[in-house]
Amino acid sequence: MIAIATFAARAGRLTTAALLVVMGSATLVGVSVAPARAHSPDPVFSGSIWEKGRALTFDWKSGQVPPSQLQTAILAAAADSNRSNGSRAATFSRAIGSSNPVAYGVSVTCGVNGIACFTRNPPTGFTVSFREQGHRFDWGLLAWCQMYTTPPNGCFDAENIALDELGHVEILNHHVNYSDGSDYTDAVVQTVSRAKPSAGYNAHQYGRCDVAALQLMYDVPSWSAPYSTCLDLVTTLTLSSSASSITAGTSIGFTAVLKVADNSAYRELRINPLSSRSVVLQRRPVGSTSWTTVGTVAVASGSGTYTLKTSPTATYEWRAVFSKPAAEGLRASISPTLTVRVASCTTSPCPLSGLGS
Amino acid sequence: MRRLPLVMRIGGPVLAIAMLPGAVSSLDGAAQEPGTVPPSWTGPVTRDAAPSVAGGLSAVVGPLSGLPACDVATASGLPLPTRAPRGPDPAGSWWRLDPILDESGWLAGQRLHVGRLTASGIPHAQHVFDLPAESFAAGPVAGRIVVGADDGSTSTLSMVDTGRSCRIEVATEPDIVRRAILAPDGQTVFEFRLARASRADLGIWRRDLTEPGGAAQVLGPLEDDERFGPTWTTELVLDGGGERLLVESCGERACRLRILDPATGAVTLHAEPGLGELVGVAAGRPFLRAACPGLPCPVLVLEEAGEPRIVVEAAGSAVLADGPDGTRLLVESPDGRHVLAIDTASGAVMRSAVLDPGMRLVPAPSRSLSGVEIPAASGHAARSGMAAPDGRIGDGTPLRVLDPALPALSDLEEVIR
Repeated sequence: MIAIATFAARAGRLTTAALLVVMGSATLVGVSVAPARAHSPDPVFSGSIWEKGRALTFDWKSGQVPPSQLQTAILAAAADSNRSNGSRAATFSRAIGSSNPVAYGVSVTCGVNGIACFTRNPPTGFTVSFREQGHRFDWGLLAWCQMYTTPPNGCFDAENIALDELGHVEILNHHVNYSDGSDYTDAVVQTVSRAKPSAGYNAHQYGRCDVAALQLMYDVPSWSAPYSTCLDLVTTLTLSSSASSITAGTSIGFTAVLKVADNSAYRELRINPLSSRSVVLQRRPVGSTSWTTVGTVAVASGSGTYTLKTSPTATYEWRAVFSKPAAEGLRASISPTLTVRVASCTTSPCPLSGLGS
Repeated sequence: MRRLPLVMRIGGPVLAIAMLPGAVSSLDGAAQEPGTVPPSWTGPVTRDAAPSVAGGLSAVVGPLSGLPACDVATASGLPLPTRAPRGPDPAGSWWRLDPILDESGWLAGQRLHVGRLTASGIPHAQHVFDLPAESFAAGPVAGRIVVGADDGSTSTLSMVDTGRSCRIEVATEPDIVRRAILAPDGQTVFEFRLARASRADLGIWRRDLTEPGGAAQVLGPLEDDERFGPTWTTELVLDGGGERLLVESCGERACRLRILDPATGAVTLHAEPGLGELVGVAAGRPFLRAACPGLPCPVLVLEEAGEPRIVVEAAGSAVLADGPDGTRLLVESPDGRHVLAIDTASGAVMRSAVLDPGMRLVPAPSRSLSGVEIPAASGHAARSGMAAPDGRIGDGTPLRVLDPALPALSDLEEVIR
């Protein structure tokens, strides 16, 4: 008998608005609540993801082998996906005899209107199909740019389209653009494929909002890896000291810990340690309102941990500060303030004063 | 069996070493592909160099000219069927279209297989035709398969009568006839046409095969709607009794559906950007895909009143099949290993059957580029769920039937007997 645990069949009514959200069996991911808005991570399908970092293989479908030009483009797209996913998403490579076929020509899995299509069923497998060069649509003839020595305007870039399909295989649904399409290049996985020479038609790496969704679903590859600027993640910063009171001139260690905030909307990124960022230590005299930067806190061995030793000569309030990086989708954060009391030296010999911070 | 010269089969894929007439005019470097174009399309698409055509190709008079003409009466030059079909070809009939690719992988034409079913229910090809790239087939209806072929200057509409193994030339049109279907009455053909130069939508036309004269437009061009963009494909479907014509017009992502009552001219338009391809019609209600880029994908039903209702949230290929308990939605499980019969009202899985490796549910002809009509004598429902290799009817390949009343897929032969 069939196991239908993963097969969802149910009756339910949709409002028209809801239908727009259901399109493509998609759910919307992001740091904000649905509905999708532009410059937010791509929506994702409701199905499972692949095992993180899984090496997926494919091979040309027997009897429907793509022309050599398209083979080259598809292989390049696999490399593009592996290189630019910015996450622990599955990787793609061709392996002869793989059970995941890539076909050229007629496929029942393709809708009547697509130039390429896919099926995905993690962890079992996937398929990708491409329409043949010269396929007739109502508007005219399908042309793949790779089939020409000098690609004409109006052709579709097969490497770009293959990357779109591999993004679908990962779990990405189509990006939601501004109405004027000004953010089109934020994603390769798009509802409307652009033909040459429109902007983005030959993008050969995932856009930042593709990467954002992949990171949310598959996590980042390391704690020091950059977060897509299509994200806007709240961070948390804590600060602790090795002692709450010391004698003047005595060395004290400060430890800051930087993480992604604990928010279920952040999915796999939730409470991730953030390593290799810039965290500074600041102090102010008790009662003062202005802070002075003591220095950048060095990256420590622990995940998301930063340490600094100093020898304060007076009582100060201390805090750690993480400024919003220009090239990452992380928000700034400031740790709660802590006070380290410094007592004067009463027994000789005292530690050298004035050498501390 | 008739083949154009200079065409050969090499291994699995169909390859042609020469371009077919229709393909030459549109793919040759010296020619321009006529057509309206996507928004970003800025010019004609031509290939770098036309393929060499050794010896050239002679003009083809009708795409099915190798088949004898049926014994038909004519009036005003219009070929007419000698009799209106009264039911399916007793043996059952089928067709399949495959792209013919040249050595560079360009679409050079389409190869049409037509035939009947053997006594053991295996599709057997009686005839093979090499058609221009802009070609289609539809049906079978009462053993007749509608064939359209455009050679770049003229569209030819024909029918193959599988029972009598002959052809009926229906019409030639200066416009591009992109799609056509034969109504269950065997006498009415509905056509979707494009303007030859611009590929602009010319609407839906009806042709009465028993009347001399041309076709008449019954539905105008679809109005532009920026939510859907340019129309990529238009498909025609008649509901069970042929009372209503469903015209599906798909943009790159989503589809619009017009439902025409030819008797009254009344038209209902469904234009929701969340709607995708038509799966079929049951009890007057259209079942459609959501607008998905791939599979799995939800299947929805448009109720008489109210909003679309999800029947299945995640389905592979899907078709409607009739059985003693009513119509069931047959879908592939997302892993492609099972076919499930789903109650269209409740969404409950009523039955399931294991798909053998390599076998897939055969979806609508628009997706599978194949069609089959089961013999009426089998006592089997006219609209059945089929499984075939790769989900396509093919010459000599096994064909299995999922009867919603049966617990498992059966060989067609078992069903027939």
